Amino acid sequence: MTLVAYNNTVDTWKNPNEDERGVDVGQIRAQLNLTVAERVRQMVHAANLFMTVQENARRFREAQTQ
Amino acid sequence: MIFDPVQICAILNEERVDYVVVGGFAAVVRGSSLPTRDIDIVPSRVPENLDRLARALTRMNAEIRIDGDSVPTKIDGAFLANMPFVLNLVTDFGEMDLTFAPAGRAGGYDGWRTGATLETISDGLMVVVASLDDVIDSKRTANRAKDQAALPYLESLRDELRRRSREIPNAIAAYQAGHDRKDVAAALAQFTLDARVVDDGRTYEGIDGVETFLRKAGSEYTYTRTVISAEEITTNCWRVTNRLEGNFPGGQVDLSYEFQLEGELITRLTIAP
Repeated sequence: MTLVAYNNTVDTWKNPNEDERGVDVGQIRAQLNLTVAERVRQMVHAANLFMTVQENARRFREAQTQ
Repeated sequence: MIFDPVQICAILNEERVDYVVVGGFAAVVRGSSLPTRDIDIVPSRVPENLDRLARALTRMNAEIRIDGDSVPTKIDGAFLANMPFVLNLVTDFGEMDLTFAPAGRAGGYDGWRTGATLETISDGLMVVVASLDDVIDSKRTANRAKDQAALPYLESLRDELRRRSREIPNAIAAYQAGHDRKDVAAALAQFTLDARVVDDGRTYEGIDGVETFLRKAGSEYTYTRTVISAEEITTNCWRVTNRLEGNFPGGQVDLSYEFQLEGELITRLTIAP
């Protein structure tokens, strides 16, 4: 079987909330509906979750190399 | 918790440090959802303030961060005074950068403080946070790869905030116009029956209380009012900053008016410097 690239348009759908910079303004509006304290709490939670995953991945790699 | 910027700010405030929160964390306060894993502050370089800052950093067990490692260092006011640009730190509550002269037109503490506002980032914890315009300008000037990646999102956020600011609800516009011309009835008509106004630490409850406030507020002085900024900070909650200039002590003051709307009317108004 010969593999051939599919060159036709796959999807013409465009997010209606996307502005001229390609940014989803809907997400911005949702964020602005939160209070300042809620925004901070949400970001801090996400940042800590991300750092925990990173740290676990680092430990796992270290354990594998030992 | 690895990163606790609220606790960092709480300790800075307890030690009465003068500082402005800048960078990615300031952008989050302004409405950005781009995560950050450190907090950047611009402290005042006044010697007494650097002493207070050093005390706060000692309480957080701050160490200097170099290439991912932390180096224990005795940090005092004199040490901080010798820092020309930036000091990367790691504390018990996460990473923190002291930036004495961030990139951009705002320059040092005084420049950043001019556009900054006081924001409640947690229950009862208020911090001075840089304006989004200054954050964007600084990132554009610094022009690092991570700044370039964040700029489209931050510029779209700024545009959205500006769009909202141009659309001040009728109730707020009518209240301000009525109050300016001392038309108590017109201003009062913009409030709900159970409205509450807090001005200068005093609370006025219900429509009768609001009328008392309207008759009293500014009645002894003549002044002009200019809108400096207006933004919808959360749904149906608007903050309008007015500059009053007149024959009162000091002659000029910028006041923040925070309006909570219910339907078409004002249900809460809090006025603060």
